[in-house]
Amino acid sequence: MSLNDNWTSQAQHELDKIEIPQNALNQAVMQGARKAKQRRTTLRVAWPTLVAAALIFLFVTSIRVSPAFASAVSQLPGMERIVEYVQGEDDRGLLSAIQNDYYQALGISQEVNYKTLTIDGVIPDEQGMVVFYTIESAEGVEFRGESHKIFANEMNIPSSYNYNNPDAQKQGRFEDTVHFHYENPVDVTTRNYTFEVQLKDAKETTFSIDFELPNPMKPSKVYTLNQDVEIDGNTLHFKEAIVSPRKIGITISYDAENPDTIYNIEKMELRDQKGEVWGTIQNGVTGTFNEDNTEITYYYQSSYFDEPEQLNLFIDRVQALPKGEDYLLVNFIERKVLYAPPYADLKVTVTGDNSLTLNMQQVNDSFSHGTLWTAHTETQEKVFLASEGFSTHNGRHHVEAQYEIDTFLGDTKIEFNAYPHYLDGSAEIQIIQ
Amino acid sequence: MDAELVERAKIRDEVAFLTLIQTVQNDLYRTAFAFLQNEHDALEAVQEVTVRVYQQLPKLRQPAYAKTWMIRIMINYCHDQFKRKRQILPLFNAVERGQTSAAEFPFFELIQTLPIDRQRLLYYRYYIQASIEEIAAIETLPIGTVKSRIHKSLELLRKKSNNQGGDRDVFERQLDFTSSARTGQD
Repeated sequence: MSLNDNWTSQAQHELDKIEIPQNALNQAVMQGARKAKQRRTTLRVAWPTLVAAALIFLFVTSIRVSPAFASAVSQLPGMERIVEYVQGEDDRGLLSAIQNDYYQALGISQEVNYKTLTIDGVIPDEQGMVVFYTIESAEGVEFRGESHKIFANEMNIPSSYNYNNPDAQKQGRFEDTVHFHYENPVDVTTRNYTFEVQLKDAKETTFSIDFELPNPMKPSKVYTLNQDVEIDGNTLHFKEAIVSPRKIGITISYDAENPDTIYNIEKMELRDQKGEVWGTIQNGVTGTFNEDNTEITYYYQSSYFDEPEQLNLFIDRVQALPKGEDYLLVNFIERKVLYAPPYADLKVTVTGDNSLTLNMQQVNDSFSHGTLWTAHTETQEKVFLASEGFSTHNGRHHVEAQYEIDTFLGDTKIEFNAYPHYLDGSAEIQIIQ
Repeated sequence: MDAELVERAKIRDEVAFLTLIQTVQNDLYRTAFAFLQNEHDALEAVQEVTVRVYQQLPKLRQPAYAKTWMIRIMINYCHDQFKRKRQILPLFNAVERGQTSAAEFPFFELIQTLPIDRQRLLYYRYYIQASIEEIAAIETLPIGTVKSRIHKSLELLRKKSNNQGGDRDVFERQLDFTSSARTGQD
């Protein structure tokens, strides 16, 4: 065998011999992109991300702040508002972070298009960050769907986030708070960040502010649990608990042999040796699934700074449907419902070529969830939920949903994300002993 | 590579991501085919690498080198596939490769006799025509090291190519034997 000494032309000559099946290749790329998006969306928010403000206040039992602490913080400029906010969120973990001087004041501003954004301060940890900021503007600022981003060392940190914005349009001076929840944790030594906000005004004003944390982050504490709990014939495996300054994440998996498909756990509380209670996160990312949906992590208010000697997790109201009865079968074209679970007085109506409504008994007033999930066509093609709205009224839960395809041919099987039907029983396990 | 497009894809702009993949899909496919030697596996590789690129994109430091970076992900995927297949069907795989590729892809076949990291360097340089600077950045090696490794690898390949026909090593003889044995059975 003799080789051309011009390596590049030899290589190119070899590549030219490879024919490209263009259609199949396009399809492979599209399928890959879809799969990627799907793996990403499996990091779904298990509980409602943005519960309407009115609803949140139903849960609020205001945190007590000692008068001494209240007067101490009011000496610091801007702190009153931050304490007020944390009290409003009813997050004792965040309040405790502030009381323990973990809130990092920044006061860094940037002016763009005659609007000024100031980062008042942050509460950071390896899994995410809370950013408190203020915008001052002579003109009105449109608030619908502006975007927030966070970068570490100039690299975007993929994250989900939630923010408040009580009014869609504001003028003058106003304050907001955004919670970032990172898909993957950052290194505990990360000090340099960039916070970016893009407003939906005519000029799409974008603020981008670099900042360095004044103090180092505190590392998360990891507790390995590896405990199995049985409720109503189903095994729940508690894997680990990660306690960070902002929240506690507890990772659970469900045994594949379980007779029921488990959806959400409506009542979860952490209690210390004195009976003090840390609840779940009420507003924001309250749970995430891992890539292949085999594990779920629930988030609680943090006990990081309180350092309880003992911490127990109490769970109740575990949503579940028996396997084999855990789906909807509909035909969108014929507007027919072929199967619906016989629980909670569920009524299903197919309203269009890709849309349907559900009406069911709410059962517990803690049931407030996006109810539907992915669908499969007869040919096993996966179809994603395009949008879903839900409301509760007079003890009934009402859902309107649309799927991401124009027309479904044949029967379509739809999975649930939540269902107001519960396992019989509750459980308690030790997290810290 | 359009740096702005890469930046947009990095922050999960789906249109930008798709456009980015489409600009390199032919290179990704050819790379996969060169290593895996059949259309089915190559298409599957492109699909899986699309997912991996999406997941790893936020970690990409130099957007200008996105193409070579994606080729690296592809080559690593192909090598993983080899490892798996070898565990299951070592002989069959070797025979297949011997039969189909040697005549059509002599340079590539020679490259495959090198260690994996050297294979990548030569592939980037001659098949993808990446600059030495780009290769150094993607492999996080000093420029001088990239140059000398490519140079030494080519020296080695020149020798191998000249020796072929007369002085075959044991592996090649075995390969030849199993090929003819199969032909005899057919």
